[in-house]
This record gives sequence, structure tokens and C-alpha cells, in this order.
Amino acid sequence: MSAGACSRGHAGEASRSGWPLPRTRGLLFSSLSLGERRTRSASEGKELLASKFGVGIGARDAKLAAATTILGHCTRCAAQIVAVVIVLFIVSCADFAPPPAVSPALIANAHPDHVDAGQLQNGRRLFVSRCLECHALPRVTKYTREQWPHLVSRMSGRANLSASDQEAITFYLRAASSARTTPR
Amino acid sequence: MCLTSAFAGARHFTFIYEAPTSPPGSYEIENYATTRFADGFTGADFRHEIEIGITEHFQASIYLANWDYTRTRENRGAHYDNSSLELIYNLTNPVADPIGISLYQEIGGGRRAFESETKLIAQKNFGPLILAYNLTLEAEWEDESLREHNGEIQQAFGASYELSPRVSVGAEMLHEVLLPAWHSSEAENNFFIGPNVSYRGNGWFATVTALAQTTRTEGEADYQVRVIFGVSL
Repeated sequence: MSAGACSRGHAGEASRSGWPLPRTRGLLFSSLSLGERRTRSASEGKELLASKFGVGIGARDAKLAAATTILGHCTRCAAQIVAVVIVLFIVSCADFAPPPAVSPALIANAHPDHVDAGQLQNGRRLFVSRCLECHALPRVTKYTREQWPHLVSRMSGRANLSASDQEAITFYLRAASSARTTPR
Repeated sequence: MCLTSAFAGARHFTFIYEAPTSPPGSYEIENYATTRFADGFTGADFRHEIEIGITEHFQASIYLANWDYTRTRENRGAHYDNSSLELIYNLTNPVADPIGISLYQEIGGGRRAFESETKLIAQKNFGPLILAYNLTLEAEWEDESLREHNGEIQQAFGASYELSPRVSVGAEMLHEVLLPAWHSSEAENNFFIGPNVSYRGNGWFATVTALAQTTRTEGEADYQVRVIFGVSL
């Protein structure tokens, strides 16, 4: 490789950490870390110099190369941190728990609607199967007892729900929206 | 109130099937268009499907026409491929059960070709996050006497996150093992990966996936983009 080609890019050999070793004017800098440097001929691979930073010929190039390497590491670390932050943000925003099972607390909550456990079970079964066809299931507490009947009614046509199916889902959601229940 | 009415049978993925089946008594039309690129546009596949919800756990689909448009040096023009029947039976629910499982069978026949495609569909929903996996075994008999037969094993994995009831974004991965004449010695491995986005309107949905090939197999598309547009009847 010519000296010109060497000074243009960092392609070719890679360091132990996987990052390409910098080449400058026919010289190849290896074992780069803060405060230490080894210099070899790019064409022959012969070691020319081993010295500390800030001493001797090529100190400025070596510092520049080290800074570039560190910048590369920082960019990769930053990308990984950003990815982790995005995932954590999504996880923190989401409620991964399934809709609550029919519990005594939920049954008690359904007393004003005069609904028994069997009807609530049926409502939950229809909610997790029919509504899932179109969208992920929202948290049952996202809407109030008063809001759910209107929402279920609006979507019943799309989910092809019969009047009794619609009623069962509504009763379950009304009870679950305000009940302190444990997910199954 | 942000929860809006949505489309029954909406797809979050285009190369991956999901475990839930259509509601009983529902009818939908889904149109597929898959464009392939390898040093420019090389062709496109089209499918036109009518999907019918039969029971709570069973749906059937009729692919009226699967056809393609090819534009290569050797070949140019539109060709009818086949028509097919697809059946999906849902065994478990991806929310209520530890994992949602469905079984899929498609049988197709056309001019000098007979095809069978069997799939295991697995899915798990974690709130707005949907994870889906398909394992597919495909067999194809071609030629006038159906002597030429080929196989394909395919696995696909996808993740989709619902930003809202209308919009979801995610990614899909596709691993194909092509088995010409069912000889494993001639097997060809292709791997594709890419993002997807889905929008659900009132009575319709559209989902788009763009996949790039990472295996650099000669003769296979470098990129493929699939769009599914569905309308409720």
C-alpha cells in the first residue's frame, strides 16, 4: 500500500478490540492506548519505534490516531446507550401484564351490573380473542367504567360481535377497570 | 379518547402470519404486492385473497390469483402462477396462554404446478409488543408431469410495537433454506432482515416491510418490499 493510500484511510489491519489500526505516511501505529505507542513500517511490518506519547517523531500523529480510536469507541458506546435507553423507555411505558383474571374482587366490582362469574369469564375470553384481532389489548384501567361501553360499542362492528358478546366484554371491562385484581 | 375503531384481521407483519384468526362471520379482502430488486427492479409478485372467519378459532382464505410480473434480460411480462386455499386453526391465545399457537395449511394449483405449504405459527403478546415466529415447510411440484419437485424450509421472526391502536412499527427476519429436488447437498441459504410499519384505518389497513438480503446469494433478490392492503367487507 502506498503512503498516500495509507494516509487516506484506516482500512486493512484491525486492533485486538476490532477497530482498524491507523496508518499515517507509510507508518502503522499499533498497541495504541493513552500514553503508549508502537510504530511499524506499513509495507514491511518492521517495528521502527516504541515510545511514550509526547516523545520523539510522530507524537502528534499518534495522539491524533489515539483520539480517533477513542472517538470511535465513544460513538459505539453512545449508540449502545441510546439503544438501551429506547428499549427501557418502551418497556417503562408499556404494561406487559395480561388482562386481570376473574377474581373475588372483580366479581364484587361487577355487582352493580348484576353479573356473575361465568359471564365475566366469558367477557374476558372474548376480550382477549376478538379485540386482539385488530390491535394489542389496552390496559383495562386505561379507561373508566363509563368510557368502556361506548368504546366497545364503537368497535363491535369491526370485531363482528353479537349483542351478547358485546355485553359480556363490556361487563368484564367495567368490572376490571376499577377492581384491584391480580393478573393471571 | 384515543382508542379508535380498528380493522378486524389487521396485519402487523407482511412476511409473518399471526396466531389469532378472523372473527366468525367476517369477510376481508387482502392484496399482496412484493417487489424484488437486484441491480434494479427485477419483478413483482401479487396475491389477491378473500379471508373468511368460520368459527372462533378457524379461518379459511381463498387466493383467487397468484401472479407475477418479471423484468429480467431473459424474461419480461406478467404470468399467472396459481390459485390456492389456505386454512388456519388457532390452538392457543397469545395473551391468555403462555404462547399463542396456530397451524396453517395452504394448497395451491395452477398451470403445471402444485404447491403445499405447512406452517407452525407462534406468537406472544406483551402489552403493545407482539413477537411472532413462523416455521414453514413448502413443497412444490412443477413441469407438465409434475416430475420436478423442490422444497423449502423457512423460518421467520418478527417484533412489532404498537405506538397507538392505529400505528405499529417493528422488524422482520426471514431465513430460507431452498432445497432443489429435495437434495440437502444443493441447499441454498438466504437471510433477509428489515423494518416494517403498519397503519390501521376504519375498515382497512396497510402494512409495509422492506427486507435486505444479508447472504449475497446469486439469483436472489438483494431487496424486497412487500405491501399488504386489506379491506373489510
